[in-house]
Amino acid sequence: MTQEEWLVRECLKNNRAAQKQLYNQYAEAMLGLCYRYTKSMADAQDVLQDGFIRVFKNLHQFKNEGQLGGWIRRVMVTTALNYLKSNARYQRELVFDKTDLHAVSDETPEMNLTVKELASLIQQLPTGYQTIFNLCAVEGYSHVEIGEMLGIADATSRSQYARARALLVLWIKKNYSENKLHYAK
Amino acid sequence: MLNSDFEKEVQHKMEELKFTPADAVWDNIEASLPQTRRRRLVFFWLLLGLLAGSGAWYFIQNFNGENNDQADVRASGKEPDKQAVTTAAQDLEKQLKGKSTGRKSATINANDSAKDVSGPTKGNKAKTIAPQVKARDASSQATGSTQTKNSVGLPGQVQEKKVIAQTSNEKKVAAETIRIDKGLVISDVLISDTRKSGNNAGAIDKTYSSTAGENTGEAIISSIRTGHLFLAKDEDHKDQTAVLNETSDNEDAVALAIKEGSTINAKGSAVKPSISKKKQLAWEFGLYAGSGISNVKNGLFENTLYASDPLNSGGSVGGGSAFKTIPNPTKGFTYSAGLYGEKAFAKKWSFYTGLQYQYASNNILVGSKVDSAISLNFSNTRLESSAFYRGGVNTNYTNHYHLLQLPVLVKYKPLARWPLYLEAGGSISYLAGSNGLQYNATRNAYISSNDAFNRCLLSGNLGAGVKLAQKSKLPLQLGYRFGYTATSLTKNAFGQQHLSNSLLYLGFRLNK
Repeated sequence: MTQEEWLVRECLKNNRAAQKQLYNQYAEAMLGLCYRYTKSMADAQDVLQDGFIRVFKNLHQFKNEGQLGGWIRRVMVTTALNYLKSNARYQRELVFDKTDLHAVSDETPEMNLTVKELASLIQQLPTGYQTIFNLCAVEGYSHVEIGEMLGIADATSRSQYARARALLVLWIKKNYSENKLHYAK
Repeated sequence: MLNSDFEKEVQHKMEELKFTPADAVWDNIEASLPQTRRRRLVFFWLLLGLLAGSGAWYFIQNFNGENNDQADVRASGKEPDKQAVTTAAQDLEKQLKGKSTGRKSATINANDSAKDVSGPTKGNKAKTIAPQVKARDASSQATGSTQTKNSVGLPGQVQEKKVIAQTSNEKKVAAETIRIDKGLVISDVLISDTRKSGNNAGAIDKTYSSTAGENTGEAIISSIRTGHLFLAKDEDHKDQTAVLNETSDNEDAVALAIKEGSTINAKGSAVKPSISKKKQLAWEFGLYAGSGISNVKNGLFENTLYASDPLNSGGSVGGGSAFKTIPNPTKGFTYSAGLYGEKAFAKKWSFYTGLQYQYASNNILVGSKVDSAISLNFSNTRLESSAFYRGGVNTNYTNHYHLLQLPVLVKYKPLARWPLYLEAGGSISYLAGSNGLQYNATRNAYISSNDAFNRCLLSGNLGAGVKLAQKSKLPLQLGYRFGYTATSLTKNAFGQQHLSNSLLYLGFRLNK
């Protein structure tokens, strides 16, 4: 029995110390994930809280077949999407226009941003762009999967992603130039 | 999904994105999780409260109350509460003071509130006395009175009444008590009146008896002797034998406390009080054996898990030495066997002790074994061994503990008619040996040494059980007992480790 299996077994027995252990193990990374999907740290912590409650409630569904971390991550993403859909502030912005396909820019800007700067830029994207960008670029879901998750056509997902990517690349380049200028001074 | 360098770069960077959540997040998560542990705690405290409450209730009811009542009656002749004097009790008094010869029948039936009371008669004629009596002023008790006293009982419980017969010449009254539970049938009660025999307390001056078979369903008083009131050695109710508190040659009367709804009959023969008394006070000896589960934790309500996680570890002692308590222990098997002795010291209370061996265990996950000498420093205490285990989770290791125990318990039987009992107490244990591992975080190694353990341990015990087949050749008791070592298994340098065990046990009584 691995340490992870033992931990899951104890959590299922409602062993509080084991549950705290599991929380401590994954909370920081999961808060980073939640932060990318929301607009503030307070909202991210709300999502984290809801997400872990779902994790403990549904832990019996985890069959020890994959990585526990991956399973928790999927639960967090689902929780974040539900949060965006149910929260009025995000609901207004979570509009996925059916737009024509855009050619995806292959441009890869020089990424000299810190992790938090990049996360901050992603956070500044419009909610729809932000969500699809996170799902596609970071989580690695396909547009078909994203379409199913958000209840939109996969073409819409592609289009939104292209716009989000282009915007982000623009911001990164701008940020890079500003930084360059700043350091030049 | 796109897999350009840009996406890979973003993915890589975002994997490193971490923030520390506020403490309130966990608090809220914890609040929404099922509270089984708390419920267990509540149950524990309820059980403890029940035991303490029942103990306190018993002592209040049986010791303070009675002693005070007796003292009051003797000092002033006043009634503790002004309830109830019965003509029936007066008749009893008359019997006590007036008749010196002949055999009378006397039946006290507390069940019936409107009793027929007939005068003392010679020969084998039955008489019924009702303790359910009307109130009467203390002033009316100057001569030839009978007092009754109601003790306050809990709802649904049988109320107790004390009937005190008093002589007409206002001599002191002996207030003595029999307790009889509802429905109990007592076949013999010995009563005598020493007024006729002076100081000869041992003599039976009078014997009151009933006609056998008369008043079916009622117990029978065989006789009353001052200072002693003996109940029957009924097979079913042996332990109900009453022993009066006081013996005084100057006493003129006896008092009976009868619970409402109970029945006492008088029978004129076959009373062997001394045997009955001895039987109640005799020691029971037997064999004891039990088995169950045990574990070692940092504390009764602690769950020590991973030593590698500072948030859940036992912490260090002695200025930052790198040791932590044994990680992730899981429950193991325990069994116990030995001899026991039990002696009743009151109607519902008994004292239990014995000598027993206990094996306890628990399991931990460790790394692979290394057959190489090692010396580890634990907060200024050095342990040495010819082998050790590395930190890890690939080996399931069982810690064994061997203990010799001397339990000292008090048992309480809350229900007179049911053989159930509760028990509480403690035990002194000697840890004969253990292969228990101690973890050293500095070297990431586990080491076993008897030097790490305290030899003398004090434990607390709590339990409940039932006595079965008491009439058979092999009476037994079956119960559950929880034990917890209040003192640490390990010395200070190794942190606090406490052994808890829950076991079901069986006791076979050898002497009868």
